[in-house]
Amino acid sequence: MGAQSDDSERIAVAMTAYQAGDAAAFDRLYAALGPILRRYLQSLARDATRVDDLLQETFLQVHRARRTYDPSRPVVPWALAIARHVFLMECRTRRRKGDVDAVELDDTVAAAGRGHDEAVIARDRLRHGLSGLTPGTRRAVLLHHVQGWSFREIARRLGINSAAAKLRASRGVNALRTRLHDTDGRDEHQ
Amino acid sequence: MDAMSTSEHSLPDVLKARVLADLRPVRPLASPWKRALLLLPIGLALLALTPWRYGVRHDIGGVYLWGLSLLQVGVGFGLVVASLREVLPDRSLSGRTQILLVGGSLAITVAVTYLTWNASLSAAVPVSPADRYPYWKGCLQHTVLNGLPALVVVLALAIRGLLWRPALVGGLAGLAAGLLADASWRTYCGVSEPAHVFSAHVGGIVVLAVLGAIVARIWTWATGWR
Repeated sequence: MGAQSDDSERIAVAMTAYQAGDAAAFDRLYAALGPILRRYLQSLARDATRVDDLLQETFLQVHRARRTYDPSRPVVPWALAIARHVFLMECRTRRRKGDVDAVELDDTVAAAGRGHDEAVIARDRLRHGLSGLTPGTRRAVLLHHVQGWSFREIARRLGINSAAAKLRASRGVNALRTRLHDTDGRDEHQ
Repeated sequence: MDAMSTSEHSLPDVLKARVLADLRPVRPLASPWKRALLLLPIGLALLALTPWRYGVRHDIGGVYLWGLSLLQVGVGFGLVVASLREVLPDRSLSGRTQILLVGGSLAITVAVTYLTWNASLSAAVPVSPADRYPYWKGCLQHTVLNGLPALVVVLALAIRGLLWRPALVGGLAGLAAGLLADASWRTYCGVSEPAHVFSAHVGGIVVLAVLGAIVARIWTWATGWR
């Protein structure tokens, strides 16, 4: 507890010096804040390269927004809020580019604002459920129910007609529901 | 393992170069309340502008005239605070707060319209059909034009923060500016019919809100903020 408050104080001192234009303070801030932000970003996105990029972008935004830090408040929640925004913005950009497979479930669970443990469990359950679907059905489910695409957009993307896209998404959700229900049943029996 | 943790915790050269290229002392932003206080003189000046230039309406009493306008100024001021709070990363507005702010502002506008209409029934000057359009146009124009200075000031204050949701920040700023402008203009406009008030006065507020959202969005694109 004492060590934790020492850390918070150290980070706050570095942040205040950094606001005053001290270049060495940014090094200290990165050393102290970097691991915290990395852990947080790892809980949202698993891919190590993606986490590195997100961390760098977070620190760039920390730099741009450094005047928004209020020295009377703790640094960590402020920095975590920036990291969360950076993550969500990156998801939005990828979604706009149509990078469906990369965005996947991490974003959905993270954007729902769940706690870390709950998010990990939900993600694993969904991933397990989705793994049982055919690739075409899985993509239709993710595009429609996760990313909110219309059936016409999905049809264009997957090279099928709208009715087929609708059917795939509907069948996929039913299959997913059954698989999740079966998993719940097995867990209860165990 | 050591090598890994060293590389993980050491500052990347690219990041360091970008930060050092733009490292200058900055003054932390004051709290949203303190920053919003800058708008108070503008709001009060706006409130005084119309009566000073055009005179006041005589169909309602002082409480309905000044009391309800001051209420609108208060709500507008609260929206300015919310807009300036939204640009602080760890204090951004929750979905529920956003709904409360927008819904509450609209509810108060409807209440002000109803109370004014009710109070002015006995002394209301009927508007001839031929005058309806010029009245509508004049009130819409005055609400929008009077609100523009306040909108510019709120946006200028907001862009010093982090505009992750520019449309929300600009929309709230426009809504605030619109309420401040209408608080002033309604002290002169003697037409209390809800159809006129909603289409011209509330219409002007909505125009400012949309304008604020568009300008904030364009600003983030133009400056490459995101």
